[in-house]
Amino acid sequence: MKDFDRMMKAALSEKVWDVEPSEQMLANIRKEADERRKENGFMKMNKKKMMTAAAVIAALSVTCYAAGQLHSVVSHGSPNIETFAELEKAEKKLGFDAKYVETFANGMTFHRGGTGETYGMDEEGNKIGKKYKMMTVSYADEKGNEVSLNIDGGSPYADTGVEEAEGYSTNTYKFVPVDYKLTEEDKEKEAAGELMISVGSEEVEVKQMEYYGWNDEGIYYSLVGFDGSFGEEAMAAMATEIMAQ
Amino acid sequence: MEETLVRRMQAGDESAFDELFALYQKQAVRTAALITGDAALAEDVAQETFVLCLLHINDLREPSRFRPWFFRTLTRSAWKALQNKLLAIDLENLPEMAAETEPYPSEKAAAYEKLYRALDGLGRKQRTTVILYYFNDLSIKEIAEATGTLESTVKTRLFAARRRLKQVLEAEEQKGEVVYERF
Repeated sequence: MKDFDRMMKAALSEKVWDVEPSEQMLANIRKEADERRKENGFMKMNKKKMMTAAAVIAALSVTCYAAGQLHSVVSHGSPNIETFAELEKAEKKLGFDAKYVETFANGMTFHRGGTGETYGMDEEGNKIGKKYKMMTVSYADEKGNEVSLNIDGGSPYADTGVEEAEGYSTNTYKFVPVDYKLTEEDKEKEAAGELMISVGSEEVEVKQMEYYGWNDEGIYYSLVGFDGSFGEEAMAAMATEIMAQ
Repeated sequence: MEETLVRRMQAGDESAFDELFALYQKQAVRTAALITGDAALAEDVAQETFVLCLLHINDLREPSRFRPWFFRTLTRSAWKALQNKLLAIDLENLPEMAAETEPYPSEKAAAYEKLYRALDGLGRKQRTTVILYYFNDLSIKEIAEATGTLESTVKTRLFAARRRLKQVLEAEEQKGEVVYERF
């Protein structure tokens, strides 16, 4: 080893020889890791509903990828409310009046709900911008159809000057685990706008997503359904029922 | 050894994390101190690195590559902490920097101080490359993985950093100045 290299190595070791980790460090790590697991825990408990939210998020993030630092929008919450009466109590925590119904005219009935937060993230996964309170309400019918209503007190996308999509749209989504390697076909379809990739599921699933979004006095609403079982007319009718509240 | 511990963690044995922590804790906090130049911040950076390690160990597909994976996480955490620190600095309330000086520094200590000053003058990426190479003994390939760049870029950074450090050291010697600045 040359003198310079030897000197560099010794000098760097000398500079930090007295820097020691604290005695509480291991306990702090475990505590912090547990808290983060709890924050994200509901995602594992209620995969299908989170997939619904994730699909909306992914759809919007594709639209807004180039909007400055904002790379994606994430909603965190606990869909642990099982009665409509509890949901109405939880609404008070939001700080804004949310519109929703217990039962739609087409028979879709309240199934589960929860509150949480929506915020933006940069490409490295750091939270950026304002956080907004959100509420999610899931509805189901006897045939097994499901639709989620997501209500956000604000929009990280709108904060960057990019308005969220309104009205009806439909997309094919492929939900993949974090370690999934995109196939050539995936890449081609994604590039052509025929496929949206949403990372973070436990297994690979392809779903047809229906989306109907609108803004009502600064509150952002979206209805999201899977498997294409509703159609534009039915989604618009449900949205109209909510707007009329 | 790390490979076995990682495989145990991935199989659900969380006690393996304690062993991994024991192996890496000092190196983590000291590397973070060198990259950030802030011993207090180093504890936070090391802690964040271990938290991410604990939460995302299943994302590591090749347990044999734990070392560069760990230092990649640490490097990103340190750079992020540095960025946040810069954003948080209130220029009007900067504390007085009390230099710890020795009244009669040895020749070796004086030379080291010149090196530290020269190192502080390097860009973030060059400085990190130097630290990972000399302090952590990472190979060029491992540094490339840790910093998310090509091996050729690492070589270039290392070459440029060495040249820059030598130039600054020579210039300092000519001026006869010694600056004492420690954290």
